Amino acid sequence: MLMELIAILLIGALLASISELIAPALAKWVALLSLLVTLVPLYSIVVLASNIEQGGWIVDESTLWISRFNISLHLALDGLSLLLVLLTIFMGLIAVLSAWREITYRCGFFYFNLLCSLAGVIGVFCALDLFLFFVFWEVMLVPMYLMIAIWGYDNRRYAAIKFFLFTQAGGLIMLLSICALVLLHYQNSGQISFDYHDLMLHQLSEPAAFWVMLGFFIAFVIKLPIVPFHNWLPDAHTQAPTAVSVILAAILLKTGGYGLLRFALPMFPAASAQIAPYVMIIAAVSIIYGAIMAFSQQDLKRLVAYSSISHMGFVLLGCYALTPLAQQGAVLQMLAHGVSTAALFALVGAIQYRYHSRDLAQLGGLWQVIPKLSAMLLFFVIASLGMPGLGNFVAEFLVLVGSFKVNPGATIAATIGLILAAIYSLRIAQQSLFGPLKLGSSLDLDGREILMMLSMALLLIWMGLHPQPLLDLAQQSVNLLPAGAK
Amino acid sequence: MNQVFLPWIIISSSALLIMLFTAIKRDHLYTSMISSTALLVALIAQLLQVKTASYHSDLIFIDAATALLSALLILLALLLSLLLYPWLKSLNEPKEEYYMLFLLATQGAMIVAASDHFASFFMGLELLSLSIVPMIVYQDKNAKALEAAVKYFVLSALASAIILMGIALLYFYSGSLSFSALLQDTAITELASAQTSNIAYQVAILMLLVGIAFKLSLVPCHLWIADVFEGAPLPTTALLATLSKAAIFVLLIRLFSSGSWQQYPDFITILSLIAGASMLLGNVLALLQTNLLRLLAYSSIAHFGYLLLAILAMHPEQALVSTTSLAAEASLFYLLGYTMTLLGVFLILMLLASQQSSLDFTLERLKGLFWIEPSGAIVLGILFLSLAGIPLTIGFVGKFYLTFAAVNSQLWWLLGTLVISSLLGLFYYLRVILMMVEKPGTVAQKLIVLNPSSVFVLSFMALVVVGIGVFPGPLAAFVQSIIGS
Repeated sequence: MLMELIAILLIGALLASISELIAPALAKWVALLSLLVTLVPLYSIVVLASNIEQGGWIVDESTLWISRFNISLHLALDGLSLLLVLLTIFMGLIAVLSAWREITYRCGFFYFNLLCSLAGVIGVFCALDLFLFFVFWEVMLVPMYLMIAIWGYDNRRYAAIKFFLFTQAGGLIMLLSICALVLLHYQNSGQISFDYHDLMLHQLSEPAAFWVMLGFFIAFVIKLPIVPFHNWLPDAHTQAPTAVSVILAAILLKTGGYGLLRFALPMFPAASAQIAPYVMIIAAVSIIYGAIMAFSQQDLKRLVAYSSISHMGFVLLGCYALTPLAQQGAVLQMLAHGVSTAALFALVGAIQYRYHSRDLAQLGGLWQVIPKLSAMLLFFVIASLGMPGLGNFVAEFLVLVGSFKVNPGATIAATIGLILAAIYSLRIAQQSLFGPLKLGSSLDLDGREILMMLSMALLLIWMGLHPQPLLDLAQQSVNLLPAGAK
Repeated sequence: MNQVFLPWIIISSSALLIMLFTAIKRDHLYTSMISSTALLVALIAQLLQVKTASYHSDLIFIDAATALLSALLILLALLLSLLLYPWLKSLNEPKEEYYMLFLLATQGAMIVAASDHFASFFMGLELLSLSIVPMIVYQDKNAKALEAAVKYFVLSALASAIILMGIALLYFYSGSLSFSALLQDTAITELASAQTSNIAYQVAILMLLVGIAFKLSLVPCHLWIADVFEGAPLPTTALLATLSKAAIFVLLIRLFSSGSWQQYPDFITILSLIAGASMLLGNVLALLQTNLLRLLAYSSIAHFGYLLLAILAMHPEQALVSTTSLAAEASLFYLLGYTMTLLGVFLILMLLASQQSSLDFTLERLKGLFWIEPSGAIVLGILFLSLAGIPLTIGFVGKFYLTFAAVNSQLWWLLGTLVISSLLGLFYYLRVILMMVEKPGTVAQKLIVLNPSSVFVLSFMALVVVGIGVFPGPLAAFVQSIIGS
């Protein structure tokens, strides 16, 4: 079922690039359609998930791929993966819709890349063979890179290369770790295997576990990203076209958090526990640093990008608090941040489409001319600052509650980040929506954009008011974490 | 006469045939067909006997692994020969001799790869290098080519002289010129410790290393390569970069997979330094280039640095898992991946060049290629991703094998260097891809004329690079069965 899911996206990608030859406008419809078609296998997976008992894998399929190293195409899905796959498809739809008008140059190839990167991300969320995981991890970069490099703004080359190099650096270190892990397992058990379940059976001993864990950890926190590895994110976001920013913020960053929860924590519980206090401090630093940097930005996209760094700090904090509550909060934060930040990027993109500017100093008084867009911007700004009743609040609250008893210092510092979030978020609203009108244009949201925004808004409200189903799904996976059982 | 020599006989006799044929009546098309057919038949003959090949005499040693690698060498030559015809046709030079030199160079490469004695090694090496010199200067009115040829000839002769001196010293010390005998000596601990403390022996090994490092253009003997790559005609450069280097490397793989080199710590240290320096310096220098050929030249230094890592992994001080064949398989896969990819790049450049009068390959010339000529650009893009080692390409399979073997042998410092230099490498490979997807400039022209042979070669390269990249399983199992046995 998961193979079909990925295959549909890849076929859709091919069709989209071919359809450009017939009519350029056809490509986006093909992309939209193939994303909608994926809902068919997804629906049956969700049905399966609702029937299954607590814990365990909903779908688990495996085919031998490279017999020399006993590598298989092992795709599997549990609650955590399912949530993220759903997020991926949903955000893919949003991304296609937000690119609808903006992308006019070679759109066939654009949607080809878009669908390929979505396929890669889904692969990352489902792969349970470390080799396969690595392949998806790297492969999803190439289309992202091309999308930034071709359809980005002025400084796109620099941003695209920086994005690729940072992630690749993490990837190579992770490759070393994977090799070391497999070989150490081989040494212990006498059989070569890249399979997640096999590798979980033998816990590594110190000090090897620490170094292997560090390789995974670095790769994942570069992706999250966490200070001091965050440097690529503001540039990539600023230069990327709107749809790519949406994908980047909503999904790609989540692969880092997913990697921590799926691989780094359960495979190396002792080593993770050992570094947890330091990681929590780094997370707190990242939260505050991201918030302060966000506050000092003039460029709206850069501002939202830095706020992402701040929010992803909560994910890291939650993961390494090593309590089930905080880890569930981290999962929820990934989802809520995915939706709210993607919405913000889409809105900034919409503003840029209308005014050709993202500069806070040049914008102002938008509420007078485009009230619908402004109202949406206000809603998502407030969601991102953590207003109770919306998803982000629940997530951040759970993370903070879960981490407080473990590491009060770092948690209190992280809480300061919430206050700072209020400051920079309100600054967006105040400077762009209110005050005197500076740029004239009265093109408000159209039906397509309203549909996008409303669906995301409803999702956030649902997450805020009734997060229990999501938490239940996430709990299956979080409970599997050995450290979480304590 | 043993049937293992069948490919050799086919190739060298077709070289002679072309020589005779040219003396009687010049005909470019027939000559081209003779050489391609000969290589194809030789390839088939070689492939048929890969599993059974076993021959050992004083001069020549052929086993299954050597036979497989020889097949790779012939395949490289065959692919290259398919595109020689359109290129030579556009030249105002006598054309037939090029094929003869080409076949002789191929023959030389195969002798080097299978040699088991310094005499056969040296003969093969000279046959290879001396054939390449006239191929570099084939267009004699081109000043750059002339410069490249002189540079290559003088330095290559110097390297050969140094190798000869090394051979002489080694003979003076050990009384044998046979590789097998010398390798057996390395396994004896007392002898090894005696050898490492003997100055004559050390100097001899050092001289051989210098000579080999020159042929493989490893740091610090790499200075010639960029000028030769830039000046020589593209097919010659392709031959030099893939076939000639691969042949010497094949020999290295064999020498290393059978001796006990861990008993020579100084030697291992020097080799490690060469490997590290080649990786870093090659990539750093490639970063600065604006000419595509110079960029490839420096990247080739780096790639052979990576390959040395696989060689070094064969004799670890302490391995995580003792597998005999992993490092040898790694070197073979990496060599296969790299030479095929690089050859593909050269083939595409040849297609580009045959439409252009100037041979100046600045990066600018690729600008917008993706939008003008998608098929060529997509293949070139895939090839560059393969050079960079991105998954689902053959380059990644090689890199994965390499990392796996090196981690197993715990070569941590070299692996650190590998990570850093891979990142540097990625930077300039991405720059090439970036240039291709740029919006095209004002002069939008068709660069490639697709004819059947170029379509075949392009699709074959793409198929090999992606096909083995996605499904390396069967080949990996096959290689393991050959090397592991």
